[in-house]
Amino acid sequence: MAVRELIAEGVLREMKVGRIDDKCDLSLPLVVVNPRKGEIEVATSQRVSLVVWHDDAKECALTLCLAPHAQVSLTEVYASEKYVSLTIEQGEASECNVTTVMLRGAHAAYETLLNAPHSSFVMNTAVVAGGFDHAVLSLVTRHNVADCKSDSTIKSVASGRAVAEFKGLVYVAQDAQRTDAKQLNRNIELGAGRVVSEPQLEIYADDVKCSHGSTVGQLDEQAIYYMRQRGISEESAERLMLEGFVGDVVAKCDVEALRNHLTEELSKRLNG
Amino acid sequence: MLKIKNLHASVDGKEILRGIDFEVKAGEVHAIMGPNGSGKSTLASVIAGSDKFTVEADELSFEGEDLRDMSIEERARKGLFLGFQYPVEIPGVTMANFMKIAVNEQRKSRGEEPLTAAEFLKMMREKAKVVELDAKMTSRAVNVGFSGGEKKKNEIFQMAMLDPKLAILDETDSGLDIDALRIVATGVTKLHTPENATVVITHYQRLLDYIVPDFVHVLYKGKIIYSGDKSLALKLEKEGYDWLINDYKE
Amino acid sequence: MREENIDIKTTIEESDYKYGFTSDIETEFIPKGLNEEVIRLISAKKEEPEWMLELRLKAYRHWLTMKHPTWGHLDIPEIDFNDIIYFAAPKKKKQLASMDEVDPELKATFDKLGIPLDEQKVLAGVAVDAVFDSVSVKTTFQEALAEKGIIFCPISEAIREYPELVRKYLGSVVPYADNFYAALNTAVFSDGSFCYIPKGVRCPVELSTYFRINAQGTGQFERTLIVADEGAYVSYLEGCTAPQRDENQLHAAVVEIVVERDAEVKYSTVQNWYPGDKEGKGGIYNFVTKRGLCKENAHLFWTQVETGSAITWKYPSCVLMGDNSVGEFYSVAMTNNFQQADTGTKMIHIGRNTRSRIVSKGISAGQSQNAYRGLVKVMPKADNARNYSQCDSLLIGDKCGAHTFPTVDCRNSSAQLEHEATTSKISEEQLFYCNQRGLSTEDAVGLIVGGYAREVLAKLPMEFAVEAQKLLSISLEGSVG
Repeated sequence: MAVRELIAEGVLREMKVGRIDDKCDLSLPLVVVNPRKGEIEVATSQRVSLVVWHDDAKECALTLCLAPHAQVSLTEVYASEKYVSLTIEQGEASECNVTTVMLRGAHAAYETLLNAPHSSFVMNTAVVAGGFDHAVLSLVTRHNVADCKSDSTIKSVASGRAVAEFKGLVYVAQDAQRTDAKQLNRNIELGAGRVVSEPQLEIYADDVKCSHGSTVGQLDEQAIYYMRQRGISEESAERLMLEGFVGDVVAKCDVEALRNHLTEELSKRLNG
Repeated sequence: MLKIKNLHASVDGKEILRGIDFEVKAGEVHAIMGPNGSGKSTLASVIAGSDKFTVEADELSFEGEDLRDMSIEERARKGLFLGFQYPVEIPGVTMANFMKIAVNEQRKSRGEEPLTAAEFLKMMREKAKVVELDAKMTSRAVNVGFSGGEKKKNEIFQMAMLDPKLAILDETDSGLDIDALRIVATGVTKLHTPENATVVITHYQRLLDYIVPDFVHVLYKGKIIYSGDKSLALKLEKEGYDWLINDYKE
Repeated sequence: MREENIDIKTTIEESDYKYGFTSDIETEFIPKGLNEEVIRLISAKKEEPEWMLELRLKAYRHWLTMKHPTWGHLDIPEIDFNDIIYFAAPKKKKQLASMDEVDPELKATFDKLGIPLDEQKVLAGVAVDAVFDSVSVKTTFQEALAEKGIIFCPISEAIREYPELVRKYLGSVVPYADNFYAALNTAVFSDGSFCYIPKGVRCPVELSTYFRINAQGTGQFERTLIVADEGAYVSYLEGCTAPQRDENQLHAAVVEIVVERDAEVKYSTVQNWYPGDKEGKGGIYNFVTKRGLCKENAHLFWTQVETGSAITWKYPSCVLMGDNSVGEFYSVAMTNNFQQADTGTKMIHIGRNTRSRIVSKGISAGQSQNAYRGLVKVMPKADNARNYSQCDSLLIGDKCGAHTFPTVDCRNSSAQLEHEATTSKISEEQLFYCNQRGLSTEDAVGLIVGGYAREVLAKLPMEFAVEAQKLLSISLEGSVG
């Protein structure tokens, strides 16, 4: 298993769910493998690079709590089909950057609670669903207080007979003035794939900047033509475009060794 | 090198090219001029193999081989390069990766070994100089966020990388300021050898100050209605197309 | 700057319902309540054929098995369906021979509403089938239309006069079992309009219908059926204003449109039912099912301007069954005070090369809740389907809500679908700029909202665009300035 190798190679340090503060050895990015349930608590002003890795089939329900000013960079990898829910609670001026790579038809439900002002939540997700996969990603971003930011981009590729579903909700409470929320869902549908997209907005405050977008399409024919004119075969051009499409997401992962590994994994998935 | 006889092309039942005869030999530079909508870009696309058009011709060959049997990439690998009027943006695909695959797929088709990473990087650095392209550009996604000038320089950079036998440059001068025009045009001139050939499609004489054509052709309503030497471009610049078009009507 | 904000709010909240007058006409009632007897009575009063009664009863029996839907982003007080009068008609005095014979008070009411019923409007090119409390009282231009073979008449009349035609199409787009209110409507519909444009005929005038709820405690259940036969064209206008009432009134209409091969239908609505008072008391419940079926190369436009009703719940939809058919939906929904709206559209792509476009502009003010809900569905055989959706929300004040609930379900990998949504408010800078140029805050708000809604208003027939613009400003009218 890839994550075991990364741990063995000294790229990642395995940890159990619990509290992360300056008593922990943070010389390497931390990784939690197949957690079942529990809470990961990140102490005030703590910076941490965290990986959550799923490759079993057991259900998982996690909570990630960011104390004020905490900065978390979370990479979550789904290498198996399973049900996962992750609740993220953010304290004042905390920053949470999530990169999600879904390589199998998992069901992942994220709920982010922006409970204190000046917190920011960024999420980049790549979902590659092929064969008979049914991948579901739901993301509820709750702006419960004023002056928070959220920005999520969810990219999915559905090929074969796979279904890629996205259910998004940006909720802006009445007091959450000056909210800045963006949500984008982009889908590429190939073969007999199916895409379902529900990007919802529920807004009760007026001084807000909220937008969402959703697209379903195919690979850009113009780009394919351009690449072929340079001598690249149609097949390579398509693969290159798909890799580029989800590669933008992987590029956000802050653990280099993991990034390279994920790029390879995605490439394998897209070719298989 | 390129032989075209009685070429017709249509899209959605509308005929755009209506019987073109055109021949390019090694070492030559041709300019194709003509008013908007005369079919200049279509001609370039048809030679490159775009499948948007229905094509009929008595001959459409390159280096003695029938182009009609070849896919877009096969034509490219034979040494046919099209510089696009509107180079497309390809998000997520870096220039370096894109060029590496293009160069190596072309090498493979000629039975050559792929370049090593070091050889490739060295080649990129050298060729970037041809059009004064910032080498950092190669780590960016293809054409994404490039200015108009950068996009056109990038086309010539790719031409330098792929070293084609025949380059067709479609309105490579459009949207360029005078400095960018000089850089792009000088780049093209540097790449010209007695073994290769260039076809420039342009609206303006100004590009031809740098890239001096051996032949100038005027395309109008899908036909080449007049051919001459470089002085024709100057005359067109001064007098416009009307005298030719009027002649053509008669 | 803070004060400006308050100004906008009071400006808007204090605007009164301009068309809140009532008229006093003798009304004939069927007693309150709903059962098979009542349905038989309605059918008998309308002198309907047996098949129609059967359909009503079938729908009623099915309705009894259904539950009131709860999925809307709406807070709906429980409705007692036995506390509603299902039929009320102005008493027939005698057969009317000319305009002079129309009840003067009734005529005056129409005049106040600006309904173009009189002869002058012939020149304006508007034919009117006015529904007054469930029964059509006056139809004009029928003869002129008849020359072209166009049928435009109350649906009750069509059921008697053109039973084959009605029977062929009624329920073909919205079957009675489709939803709770479609079943109810099929069981008890009192009247509405029927329109048939024969093959290849372009209807020369804009057809329009004005509805008006009048009698207290009366629910209105209109039924509209429009059929554009092959290659035909019609532009149909529907507009309504209702008098001010304290009591909630239910309005559950069904509109069915059949757009045959190569035909084109434009259906425009300006909806201004009584929205309730500033405290949220009263107002119309507007629960409507509107749907069109498009055959090959057919083109259906829905345009709506929704400013009224306490609760608006409707989704004018297009079933793009035929290859190359096109559906378009343009909507402005404005809610104020305690109004609630959950409206949008469905575009069902079934045929190849089908295209659809959605432009929705929501405006929320006061303590209102305004939701766009939409579905774009691409079925497996719908090759090369295209959809573009744009859903914008404008918030005025910090007590209201603006929501967007789109669903995209794509099962064909040649489809290209795009959905965009933005939320904005009227900025203080915009108001300051307008004020500095001498505009009152009220005018400025009207202007900005008008500009925001322009893309949709421009899709209305000229005649209606003016009325719609008026309605938007009426909703924003107030004491400031």
